[in-house]
Amino acid sequence: MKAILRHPATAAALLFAGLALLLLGALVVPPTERTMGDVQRIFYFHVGAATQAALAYVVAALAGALYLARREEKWDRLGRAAVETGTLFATIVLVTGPIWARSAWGTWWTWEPRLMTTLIVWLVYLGALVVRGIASDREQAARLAAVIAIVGVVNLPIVYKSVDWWRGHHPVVLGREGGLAPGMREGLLLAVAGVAMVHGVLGALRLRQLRARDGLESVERALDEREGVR
Amino acid sequence: MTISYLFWGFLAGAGLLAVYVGFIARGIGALERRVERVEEELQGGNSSSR
Repeated sequence: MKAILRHPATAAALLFAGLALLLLGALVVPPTERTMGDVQRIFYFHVGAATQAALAYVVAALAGALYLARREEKWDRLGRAAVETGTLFATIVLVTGPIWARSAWGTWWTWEPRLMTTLIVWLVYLGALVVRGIASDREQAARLAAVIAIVGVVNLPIVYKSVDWWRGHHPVVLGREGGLAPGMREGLLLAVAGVAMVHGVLGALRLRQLRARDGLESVERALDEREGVR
Repeated sequence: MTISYLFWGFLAGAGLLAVYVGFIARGIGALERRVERVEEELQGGNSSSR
């Protein structure tokens, strides 16, 4: 992936292909839902983004654990990139959900278990980003962000099971028998694959950018040392 | 009909976003090459001063 993305045109083409897959999966392949009509197509964007947010937060927690164990900067960079992409996709989830809810439930927001737990996860990881901004030194920021990422990931199974545990009325289509109609399943698979490609491109580019920034800082330090020697 | 317009509209937007990301990737590549060059120069300078 790293080598492929070295070419700017390849990165752009992969991103475009991912978005095109998402649009095909959401707007072309699945049939129009009978009760809700075309508004239901938000589902493909919503679930696609939710899968990638969850994946990114799991990666962030793993990277955080590895950073705390080994104190290698590459794990901190991975954790940071994962929290950023995860928060981007979680924001998409929290924006598309209310648009759908306005049509389905007649309200933009309700304090329903799935919605509330998702908001909490989003806030926790937003906290990890804020901590990086306000921590006094880089090492402390990395340590705190790693701890938050690990603690935050505990919320993911709670989000997943919240509808069952607290009897929410958020629809559950994944992991249930006879969940999706033919055509919708294929659409969802395409949409998830498309969002995953977008996620891969954005994550890899952010990782490269963070690595280059660290390289620049170490070069600056080396130059300063050399100036000091003179 | 609306969905068809949405599809083509979003696809055009995706194209613009892809071009933008391509420019960002180009910028990152330039930064990487610059850092590599300075690192090499630094290493060269260090080895010649030894």
